Amino acid sequence: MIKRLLKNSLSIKNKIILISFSGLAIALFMVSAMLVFQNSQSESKELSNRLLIQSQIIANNSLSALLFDDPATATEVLTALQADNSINSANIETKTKQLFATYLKSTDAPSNHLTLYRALPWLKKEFSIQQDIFYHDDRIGSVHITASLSQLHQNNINYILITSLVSICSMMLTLLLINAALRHTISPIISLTKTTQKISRLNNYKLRAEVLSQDEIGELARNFNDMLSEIEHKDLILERTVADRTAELLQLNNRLQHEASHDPLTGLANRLLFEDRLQVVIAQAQRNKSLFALMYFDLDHFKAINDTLGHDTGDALLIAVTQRMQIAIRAEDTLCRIGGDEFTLIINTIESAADAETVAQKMLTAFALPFKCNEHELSISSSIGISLYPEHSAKKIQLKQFADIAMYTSKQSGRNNYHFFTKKMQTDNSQKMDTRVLLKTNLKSSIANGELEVHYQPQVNMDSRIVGLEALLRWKDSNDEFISPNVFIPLAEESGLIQDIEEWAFSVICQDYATWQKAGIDKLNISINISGYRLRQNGFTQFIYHILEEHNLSADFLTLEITENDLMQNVDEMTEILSSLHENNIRIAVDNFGSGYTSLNYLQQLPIDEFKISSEFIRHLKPGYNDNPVINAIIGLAKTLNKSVTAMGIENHEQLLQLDSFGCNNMQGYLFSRPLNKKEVSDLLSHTQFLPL
Amino acid sequence: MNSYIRKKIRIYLLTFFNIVFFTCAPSYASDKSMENKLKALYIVRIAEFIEWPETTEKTSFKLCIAENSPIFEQLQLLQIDTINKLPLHIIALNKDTALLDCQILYSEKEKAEVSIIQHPILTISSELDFARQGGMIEFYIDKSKVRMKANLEAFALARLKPSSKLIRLLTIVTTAEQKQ
Repeated sequence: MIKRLLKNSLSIKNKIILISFSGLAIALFMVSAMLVFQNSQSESKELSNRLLIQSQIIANNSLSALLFDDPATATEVLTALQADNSINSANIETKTKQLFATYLKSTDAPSNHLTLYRALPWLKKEFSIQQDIFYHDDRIGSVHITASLSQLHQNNINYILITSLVSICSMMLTLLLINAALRHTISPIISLTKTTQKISRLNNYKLRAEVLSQDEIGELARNFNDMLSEIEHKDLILERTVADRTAELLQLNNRLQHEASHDPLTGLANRLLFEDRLQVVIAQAQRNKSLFALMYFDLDHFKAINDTLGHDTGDALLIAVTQRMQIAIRAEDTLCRIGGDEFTLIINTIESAADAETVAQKMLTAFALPFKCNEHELSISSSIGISLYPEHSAKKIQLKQFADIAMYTSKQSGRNNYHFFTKKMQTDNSQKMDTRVLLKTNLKSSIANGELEVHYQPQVNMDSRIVGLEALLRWKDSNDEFISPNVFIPLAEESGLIQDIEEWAFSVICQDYATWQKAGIDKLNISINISGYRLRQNGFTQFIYHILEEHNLSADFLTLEITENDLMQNVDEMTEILSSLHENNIRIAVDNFGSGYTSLNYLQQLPIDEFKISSEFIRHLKPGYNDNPVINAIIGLAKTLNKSVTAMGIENHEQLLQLDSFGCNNMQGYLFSRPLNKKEVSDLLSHTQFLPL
Repeated sequence: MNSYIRKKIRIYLLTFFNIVFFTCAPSYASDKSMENKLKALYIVRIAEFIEWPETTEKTSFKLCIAENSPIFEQLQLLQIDTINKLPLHIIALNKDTALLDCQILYSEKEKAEVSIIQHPILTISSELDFARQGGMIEFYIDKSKVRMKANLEAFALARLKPSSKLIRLLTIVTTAEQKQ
C-alpha cells in the first residue's frame, strides 16, 4: 500500500513524513514489543522465584509441624502467605497425599483485575508450584502454592499501554520535528516547483528559480536556471528562425499566389486571374449600373516568328509587346495574357463604346513601330475583338465568347484592326468554331476508328529509279473525306494528340516496311517528318529503337526529316541527339532547306545526310531559264558538304530537266507519283523499280 | 520326635494366644501404645530442634530413661541410631547412672531433678505440670493428640536453645506460676 502511496501524487514532504513515520512506528512497535515481552518474562521469572522461595520457606517452617503432627501450626505457617496478594491458595500434604494444612485467599482481598484483563479469557489465569518437604532425606510431605497471574497480566497490559502512549507521544513529537525540519528543507523544492509551474503556465523562459540553499537542491535550482537560460536562448533562436521561415513562407506563398495568378513571362495576370477579375468587374458594373469593355488581342503571324526565329525571340517579343501595351492603358484596366499570343484587356467604367474604340486605336498605334528583340527588329500587328457590358451581354461566358468572335473577325478581315462584336458575327463564326471543336473530338477517336492512314510518296533518282518513300499522314474521316494535314496536325499539336499519332505512325511504317522486306522488295529508304520538340522528348529515341527491334528491322532504312528551325533550336542538344541517331545508322535530312536560318557553321557540325529543297523554290523555277541561283547554291553547298539533295514538288518535265542540269540527286513530286497507300505501294514495287515519266 | 511335635504345638498355641490377646485387647491398650510410640518418636525429634551449648563436647547422644518406662521399650523398637548425626545411646536409668552424662533425660517424675537444672540436659516428662515444676518439655494429650508444653526458662537455665520451629509447636509455660 505504502509503495502505491509513494507512486501516487503525494508530495515529497508527505512521502518523507510517511516513510519516516512508518519507520519510526515499526521501530517503536518492535522496541515496545521487546520491552513488553522482556518485562513479561522478567515478571514471570520473578513470580516463579518468589513462589519458589515462599514454598521453600513454608516447607521449612512446616517441617516441624509435620514431624509433630500439628496441622494447626502448619496452617498458621501457611497463613503467612496472605501477605502476598497474588497467592490464591496453598496446601501442605503429607507424603501419602493427605491434606495436612490449607490456606485459601480471602474473597475479601482486593482484586486488581481490570476490565481489559477480564476481556482476555484465553490468558492463563494461575500459576502453581510444588515444593517437597524432606526430613533426613525422607520426603515427608509437600507444599503446593497456587498464585494468580492476574497481576502479571495486568502489569503487562499496563506496560503495553504505557509503551503505546510513549510511542504515540514519540511519534507525534517526531512528526512535529520532521515537519519543522522538512519545512526548512523542502521549501527550496516547493519554490522550484512553483517556478516550473509558473514557467509552464506563462511560457516565460525569462523567469528564474530562487536559489534558497547551498545543498543539492540549490545545485538543482542553479542547473535549472542554466537550463532555462539555454532554453531561452534556443527559444529566441527558434522564434527568430520561425519568424524567418514564416516570412519566407509568406513570401513564397505570395510568390506562388502571384505565379498561380500571373504569367511568368510577362508578369501579366493569367487566365485564372482574368476570370476572377472579370467576375469582379461584372459585379461592380451591375452594382454601379456602369459599362465596361472586354478586348481580346491576338498577335498576327506570331507563330511564324516563333518558328523561324525561335522561342527565345518569340518570348522576347511577347515581353516587349506587353510593355508597350501597358503604356497604352490606364492603371485601373486589367491586361492579361491568357494564351501564347493571346491577350485580354478589361476596360473599367467606360462612358460609351467610343471610349473602348479609343483604347483599341491606341493599341494598334502601339504596334506601329517595330520591336527590337534579340538583335532582331520585328514588326508585328494585333487583331482586336471587343465586347461591351451590358450592351452585348451581362454574362461572363458570353462576353468572352463575343470578344473572341470579334477578334476572329478582325483576323479574317485582314488583321491589324479591331472589331466590335455584332450578332451577325456570332452567326458566321459559330459554324466555324463548331467545325474546329468537332475536328478535335473526331481526331481523338481517329486512331481507334482506323481513320488515320500512312501514305507513301516515292522518291526517284535521275534515272527514275525508286530510291525511297516519304511517309505522309492522311486522315479520312467518317464521311470518307480527306482532311488536310495542314488542318489536323496543328489541331493534334494543340490538343496533345500528336505524340500518340506519331507513335502510331512509326509503328505502322515499321510494320509496312517489314512486310515489304518479307515480300522481297529491294531495300528502300523511308523518310519520316519529325518535329524537334518530339526529338527532344525523353524516351523518344528509345521508342524508335524499341519499335525497330519489335519488327526485327535494322535502322539504316530510316531517314528523319527535320525543319531548319527545329534544327537550330538548342543546337548543342540537337547535335547530341542527332549524333546518337546517326551512329545507329539513321539518316538525317533537313526539310525545306533554304527557307530558314540555318547557320553554315552548324551545317558542318550536325550529322546531316540530305537536304530537301522546298517545293516553294521548285515552283519558282522559270521555264527556259537554266539558272536559279538559290537552288544552284543549295545543290552546290550540298555537294561541297558531301550531302545528297532531294527536290520536292516536281510537277513537270521542265522542272525535272532543270534540276538534272543543276546536279540534283533525287526528286519527289506529282510528276512521278502522288502519295500512295500501302497496297498501292506494294503493287507498284512488286512490279517495277522505276517510275516512267 | 514326640518332643519335637510337642515343642511345635507349644509354639503354635503361644502364637495363637498372642494373636487372640492382641486383637481382642481393649482399645485403650492400643491407644496407649501409640501414644508411647509417638512420645518416643517425639523425644528423638525434639532433640533435633534443640541446640546444645558449644562448650558441651558431644561425641554421642545419651538418652537416659527409666527402664520400666513404656517409652523405653518404644525407643528400642524405633531403632533410631543417630540424632543430628551423632550416635544415639539409650541408657536405662538406675541409681548409679550419672545424670550429668545424659543429654536427654526422660523422667517419670513430676518434677525435674534439681541437680541438673543448670546443666545442658534436655528434660522431658509426661507427668502433669512437669514444665511448670522446672522441667523443659511436658507431653500432654489434647484432642487425642500428643502435644507439648515447654518451659523456656528451664531451657535458658540449662543454656539450651530450642529452635523457633519447635517453639511454634509448643505451649509455653513458666515456672513462675508454679511458684505462686
